[in-house]
Amino acid sequence: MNKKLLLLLVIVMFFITGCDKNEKKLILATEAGFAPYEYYDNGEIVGVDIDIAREIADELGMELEIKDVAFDSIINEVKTGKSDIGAAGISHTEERAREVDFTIDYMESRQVLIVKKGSNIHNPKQLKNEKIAVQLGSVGDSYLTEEYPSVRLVREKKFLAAIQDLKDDKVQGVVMDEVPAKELIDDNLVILSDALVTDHYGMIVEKGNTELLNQANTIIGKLRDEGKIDKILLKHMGVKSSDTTQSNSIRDKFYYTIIYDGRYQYIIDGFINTILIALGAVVVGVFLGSCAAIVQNIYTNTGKLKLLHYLSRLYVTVIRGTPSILQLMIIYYVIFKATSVNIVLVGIMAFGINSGAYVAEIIRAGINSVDKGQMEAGYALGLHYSQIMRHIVIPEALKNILPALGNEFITLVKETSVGAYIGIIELTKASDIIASRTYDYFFPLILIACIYLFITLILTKLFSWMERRLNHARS
Amino acid sequence: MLEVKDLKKNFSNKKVLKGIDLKVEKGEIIGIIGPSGCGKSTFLRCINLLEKPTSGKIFFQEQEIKDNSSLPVLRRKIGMVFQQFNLFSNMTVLENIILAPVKLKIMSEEEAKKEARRLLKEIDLADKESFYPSELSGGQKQRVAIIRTLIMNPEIILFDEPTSALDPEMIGEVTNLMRKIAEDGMTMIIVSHEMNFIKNFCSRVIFMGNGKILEEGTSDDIFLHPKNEKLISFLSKIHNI
Repeated sequence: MNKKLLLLLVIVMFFITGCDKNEKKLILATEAGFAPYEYYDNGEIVGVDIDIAREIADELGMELEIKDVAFDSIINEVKTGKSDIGAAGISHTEERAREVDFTIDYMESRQVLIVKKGSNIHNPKQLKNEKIAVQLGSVGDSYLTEEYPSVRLVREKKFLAAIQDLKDDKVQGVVMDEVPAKELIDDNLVILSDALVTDHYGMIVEKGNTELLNQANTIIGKLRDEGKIDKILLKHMGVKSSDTTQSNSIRDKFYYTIIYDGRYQYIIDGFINTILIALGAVVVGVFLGSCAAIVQNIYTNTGKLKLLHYLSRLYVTVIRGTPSILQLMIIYYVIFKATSVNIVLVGIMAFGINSGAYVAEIIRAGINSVDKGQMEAGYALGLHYSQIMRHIVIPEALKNILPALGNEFITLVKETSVGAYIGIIELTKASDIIASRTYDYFFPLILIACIYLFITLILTKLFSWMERRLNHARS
Repeated sequence: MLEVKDLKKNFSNKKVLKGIDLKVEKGEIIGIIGPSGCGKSTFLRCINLLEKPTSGKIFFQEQEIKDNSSLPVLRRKIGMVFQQFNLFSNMTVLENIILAPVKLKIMSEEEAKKEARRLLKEIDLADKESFYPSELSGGQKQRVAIIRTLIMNPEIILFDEPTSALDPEMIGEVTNLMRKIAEDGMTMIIVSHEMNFIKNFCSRVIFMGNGKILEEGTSDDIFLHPKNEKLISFLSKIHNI
């Protein structure tokens, strides 16, 4: 009887979980690293493909679950049924079509060349050793690198910057996706009608899953006919044609930078993230730095913890000897490659680990600055190493450590601006986002600079107050 | 009570101590003199292992002083007074004195405070208990440092040039305190340049030169009937001043 009940329970459970998996969730396999089709934004995977997949899931009454895997694994994911659908700007090729079924193309990606009016370049095929601007890592970048090796590429972080280069005559052309290109050009620029290359993107489903394939095709067709896909693409390009501001008065600039479209929200988010990362990183950094400094001090004084000592020396050497932006990218792109960990957390860890190395040196120098006689007097009285450190050396070292630590914290606040590189919306990124909407860098950058200055001024005051208090307690 | 056997100490390649032998009995007051750089302070610092000897053995009350877990316990019985006082600069006078007895659980905080105040009263510094070292004169600092050692109830106290960093008018208050402690029967080893004090105060005097003991004897032996040539020239230089 009991056994039967148990069996029943197992079957019911199987169905519940089974239903949950197969009927309520649409699992999408993608590789988030191909903006604007799929990329991380503030710790979330977003993009054109994601939006389209979400439309499909909504239509089917399912919840979309996104799996971030390596591009090479996406076909395998779909083939084995681990994921229901794959989308990652996958070009429709015959080879792939043998493994999985392709939906109808949802995107025709034309890479076009933009030049100044009156330019003597009339066809992309003319390109030889001209200077051409592209967005770093875009299709245009990789295509030109492979097919036009003699072209001198200027890789900008943003299309906007590439266009600006062209306007300033720093380059002779810009290669980019046609859809945003149409939005960005003005009277002085033209798009050459011949595309460099045209890609057709489709989504993939398991071979024989005609039900899902047909449904996906219907929805994609509808979105395409309604022109929604172009709109989605524009949204992710960070371009909204309606936002252009032509006015130059300070009041208008202020309005468009901060008020219009709720843009202050970017600044507030950026402010919160900057503070959050700086504070979190200080906690992590002080913890790591203290550990490293203590290990080194124990080793020099007692000869114990040899291995840990060398590890901590290695840590300090490596971190101080490499740029923080590189460390951030390694942590984000290498260590947390496959997992969708919160990006702010990555920032806290990366900056914390970075800061820890400097804090370790600050503490080490602080401890070394304490007169050796203090420690000897402690030893002579029969006190143990740990007691001497805790009651005498560290409290005395603190006086020397605190100002340097305050400096380190202030440096750290500014250093978090590097986080924009991996897509953390902190203050610098916020100004960047706003500038990409208003086409005006001046006002957002100055505004954000003032906010940084404000933060660091408050911190400076705070630390000098703490120093005064510490000294006051002593005399 | 204390026995040093063939103590040698090298600083990298420099031989600072070249084999020192010394026996100290309870109640003895030993003065060590010699030209600067002869190794007197290093010798003293080797006794409680603030410097690690290169070779040789040190026994205190039949127990060898080695860098092991019993070292802190032995150090409690071997007091030390430094040239630069080495008061803990982050603590008040009272906190300086009671730190070791309280943290080593020899006394409760209350007991330690009571005892510290009694000792401070004896040296007329009762009103300075909540002062920080930076607010005291050199003589006051050194007397507090001596009290800080005394509260541990040591069997022997090592004085490493206790008056060398003091202004002349403050030397008296420190030597007077040392006298008082000696009268209570404390064993002492004193490294000092204060020749008159050594001469009148010490039961035995050791003359060191070039990392070795060159002559030793009673105060009269050393100061009135010196035999070693180097000692004679050392004393003549001092008398000339």
